[in-house]
Amino acid sequence: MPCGLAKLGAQRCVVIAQQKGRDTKENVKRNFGCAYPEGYRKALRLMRLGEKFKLPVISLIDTPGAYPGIGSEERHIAEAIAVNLREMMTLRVPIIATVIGEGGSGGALGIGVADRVLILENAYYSVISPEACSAILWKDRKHAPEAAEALKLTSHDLIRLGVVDEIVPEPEGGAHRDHDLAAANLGAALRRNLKRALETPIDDLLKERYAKFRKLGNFAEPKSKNGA
Amino acid sequence: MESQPLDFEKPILELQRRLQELKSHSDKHEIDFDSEVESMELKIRETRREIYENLTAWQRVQIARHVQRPLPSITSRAALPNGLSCMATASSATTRPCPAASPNSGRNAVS
Repeated sequence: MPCGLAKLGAQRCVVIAQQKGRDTKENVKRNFGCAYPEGYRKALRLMRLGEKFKLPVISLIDTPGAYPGIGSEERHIAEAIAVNLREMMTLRVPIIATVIGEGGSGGALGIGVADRVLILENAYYSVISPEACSAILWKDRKHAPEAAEALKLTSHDLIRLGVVDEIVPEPEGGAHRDHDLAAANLGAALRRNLKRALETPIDDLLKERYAKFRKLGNFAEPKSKNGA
Repeated sequence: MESQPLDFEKPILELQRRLQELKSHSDKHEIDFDSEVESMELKIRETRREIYENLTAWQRVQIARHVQRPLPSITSRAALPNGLSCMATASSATTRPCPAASPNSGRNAVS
């Protein structure tokens, strides 16, 4: 979980990020983008530092999920994520989160409670990976494409469902085709959203942040046969 | 940037290969294939548009996982031009207990 201090234009901020690798060596170093509890605790330490010095937080999400191994459980991964959810909800500085690649469930949410949640056009944000969903529902991973459709995980589905606030456009064919343009688009979106968040009184921002997450999720109850 | 193609991009690659063949044939034999080249380029543009405007959820997942997708270190360096070595703590030992991680570990993550 790479974290640190940065500047966005003239604005100092804290950046917390998840990073995968380009090859096997890098992926082993980065644990395939799957953070351990220590990563979430480190992110929280940096966020608290940001709060202390009144620095807004920029969060870049790219994880298939938090690491689900025994070491993670031994060191209380669920607790680490849950504490981040609670603390981020009341952090007294603006938080802008962006899903830049994979937004894997709790692993993404652990640094994803924010005033504005952005998503790159071709990124996804989901309660489970399509493969794992397929393995559970069909007892076979080959139904991942059907699971991906059913999960409503694309940026366009998510904005319609109110899970994200803004889609950041990517170059045609995906962000990998033009890193500079993808980064410029993201930079512009971050500046615009951060400016708006910084102009809002922090108490209003916290109320809006809470309300935004409380209203997530829709369900419909089927009508009974007699229409009651 | 030369990028590694995804499966659903193969029709575009095939058209690009044929266009290249047409151009080299035209150069080699000094025959004017300008109108064919033009129509092939149009077809490539249309195919690209058709594919990228109608991506399925699974195809977007594949793009999201593309091995050349910008990483936070690249994204933040470019998006935050005055970045102050913001990845300074990236290799902190506290983030890397990292016992035997399998290449598929990420795909199994459900937390």
